[in-house]
Amino acid sequence: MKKFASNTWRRMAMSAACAVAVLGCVQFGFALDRVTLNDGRVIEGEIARELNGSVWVKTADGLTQFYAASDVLKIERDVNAEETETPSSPTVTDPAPAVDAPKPRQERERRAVSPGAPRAAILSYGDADKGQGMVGTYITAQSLREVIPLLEEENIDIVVFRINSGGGAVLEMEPLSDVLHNEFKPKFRTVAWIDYAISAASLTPHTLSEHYFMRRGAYGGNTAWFGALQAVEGRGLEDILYFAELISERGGHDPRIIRAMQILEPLSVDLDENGRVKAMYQNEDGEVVINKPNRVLALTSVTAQQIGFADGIADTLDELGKAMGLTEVEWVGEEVDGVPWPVSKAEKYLRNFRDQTARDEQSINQYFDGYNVAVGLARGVPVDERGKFIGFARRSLNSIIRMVDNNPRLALFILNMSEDQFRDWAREQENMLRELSK
Amino acid sequence: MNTHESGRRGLRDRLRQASVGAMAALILAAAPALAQQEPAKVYSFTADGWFGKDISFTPLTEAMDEARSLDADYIIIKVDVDWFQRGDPLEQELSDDSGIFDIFGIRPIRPVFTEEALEVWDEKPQIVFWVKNAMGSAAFLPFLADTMYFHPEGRIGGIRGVYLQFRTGDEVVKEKLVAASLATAKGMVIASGYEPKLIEAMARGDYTLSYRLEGGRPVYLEREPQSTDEFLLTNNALDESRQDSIQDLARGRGKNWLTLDEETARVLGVSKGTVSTIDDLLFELGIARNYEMVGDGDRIMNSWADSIERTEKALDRLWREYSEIQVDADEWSERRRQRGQQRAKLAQMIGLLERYKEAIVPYHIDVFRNFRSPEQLISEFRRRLQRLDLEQLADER
Repeated sequence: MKKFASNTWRRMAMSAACAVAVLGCVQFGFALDRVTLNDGRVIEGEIARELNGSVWVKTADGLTQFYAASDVLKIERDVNAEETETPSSPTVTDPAPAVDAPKPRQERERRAVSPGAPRAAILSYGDADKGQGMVGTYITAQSLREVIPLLEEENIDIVVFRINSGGGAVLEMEPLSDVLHNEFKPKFRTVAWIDYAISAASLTPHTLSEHYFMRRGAYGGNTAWFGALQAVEGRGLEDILYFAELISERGGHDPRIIRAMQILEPLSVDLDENGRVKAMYQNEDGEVVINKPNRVLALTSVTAQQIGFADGIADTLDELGKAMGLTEVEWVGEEVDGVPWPVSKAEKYLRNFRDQTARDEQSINQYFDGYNVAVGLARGVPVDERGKFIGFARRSLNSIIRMVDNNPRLALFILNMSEDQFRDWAREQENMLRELSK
Repeated sequence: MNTHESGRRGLRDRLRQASVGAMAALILAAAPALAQQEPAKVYSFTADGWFGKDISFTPLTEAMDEARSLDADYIIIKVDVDWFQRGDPLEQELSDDSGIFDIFGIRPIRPVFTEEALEVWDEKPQIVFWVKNAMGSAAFLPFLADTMYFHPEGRIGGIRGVYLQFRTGDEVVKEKLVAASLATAKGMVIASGYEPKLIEAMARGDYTLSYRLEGGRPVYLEREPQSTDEFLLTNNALDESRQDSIQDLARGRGKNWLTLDEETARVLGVSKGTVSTIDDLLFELGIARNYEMVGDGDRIMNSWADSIERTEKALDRLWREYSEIQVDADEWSERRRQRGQQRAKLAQMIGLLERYKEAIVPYHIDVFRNFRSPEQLISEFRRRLQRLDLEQLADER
């Protein structure tokens, strides 16, 4: 029921977005293209992109579907021009440019937007390409919570989490889901933009209702494990399965999707003549099998569209804005070399947080080695000669404390202590250093 | 010269002038059309050597940057990676059924060719991969753009057994990792408009895939052929009766994992054609009579490969030199100098690792066999630097 209500709301929101978008689209007209598939289905819409015979077709309701070249029997363009002079129902223009169309110079240059245009910020949810993708270490509930005031300071209306992570710690999943659901969603339109979202990096943004996929996007593979690739079983597994159901409910998604991503459960769907999901099954009874038995599900942009999970396809900011139904949007932030999106204050904070965490992770042995050796040397000399060693030890201890101040999760993941235990330990060390100097 | 002759020449000159004028007018009128026929700028280089080491993010980015600065219309990348056992002095080429699926080799390179990366170009170039040897992790490289041609000896494969990377563990966990790896690989393929089922066929031994041609295009079937116009690409290796025989494997005719050769790739529409030379490729691209080669991508790639080789040797040498420095002099100032020498060696090694870490694999260097990553090595060197500080501090008593 909740699912229905949520989907209804989403459809209404999409309709509203489309209605707004119509104003911007009427002047361009609408080309009706037709793709006939080998299985006899005929898809009408606008061919957004054609590569190697494969096509992405955007239909009148704003959804884009991918059809591999091998499934395509015939492509007809501009059929409405030949068949009717009555304009078709307008729709949002497609986000994707034609493959050979020359791009305007410096597309990333800012466009003038109206004063009332919504302000959006891209927040990177990890950066696996830099080795900073671990959920729990580089993606933490606390760091996300800390950027909310920065988002408010910049009057952000829309937060786009760009997901680029191979997963991480189970224990961070609930705090992350909570901060997304309880703190982000009430304040911002919060959406996920899927690049590489594996395991905990897909389970946590599953809390969100809107997911836009990059064409290369990957999403899923949520099986919980520990040690030498050992699966979590029994009560522990049931807890995680139940938690995933709750997350699905928060996001308004069919729980069978996430279940197929966690354990060896099949998933199949029936589609209507337009390729929309009519029914979903946790078995192979559907006409399209998305996940076979004895497999774990990870979605591509294609399968995400097939099961109606992807709300749109977008590789660039322009495409994303259009896929989100935004006629105008101001992407807030500064241009930063090597970052393909404007860096807002909140994004800058997250990037600094991750960089510092990476430096600390790499230096932790150095911090502790320096501390332990300096304390040992101090103990080995008379009190009046200890000062320089105690000073060295104190600097090392301060580096360790700063590390945990920046990222409290490192106390657990690196030092195997809760944050409270770490604070106690740090106080003990400071006392010990004071005693040592006496 | 007589006047008659002179008069005829004058007429000829006037006619010539008139024709030149007419030509000029014609040229002016046709200027836009002629402008479009400016030679296509072609930037070409070979991605050869070891994938992930000689072919990595930095040199590819530098090559793409040079191509962009030269306004290249076409970027042709010949893929011809090393495909033999590391350290094999005979460099004997591995068979098609060698290699193991590894998505992490391509991930650092992928951002070079994304839509976002190309957005900074004034006009997006046509990127063409010309495949000779794209085996192992390099198999994914040609799929990062939408245009691919094959060399007559071209191959894409060597990513069999996505399962084989996980030797221990529970099945469901392995399946999760396999699913994540395959979805990532398929995503790259989908983004360029290729058929994702081909990745499954290359990577999963238990996957059956056939095709038939309809209107010259393949229709894929996830089952064995059922008629003479259907052709098997891969069959299920879990079925003993379908397992490749050693006879088939020796002849490169295995069917448990797909290797795309030039013929299969062409028939399936993955390859747009088979060409032996770059001239043939330019002809196929329709620019053979009107192109200009620009830049020197090979210099960038070769320079990088040389730098990596020199860096590996330098690291080995610097470590040995560092280890040979004994801090044992009687004089305090001499001990300080010895520590200074050690410090310099460590700092040099850190500098080299920081600069080339994307391509350095410590355990490929004899003296660093116990280190997994450059980051781990850097961390160790920093710790040693700090130890030198403390030793010096203690020595100042």
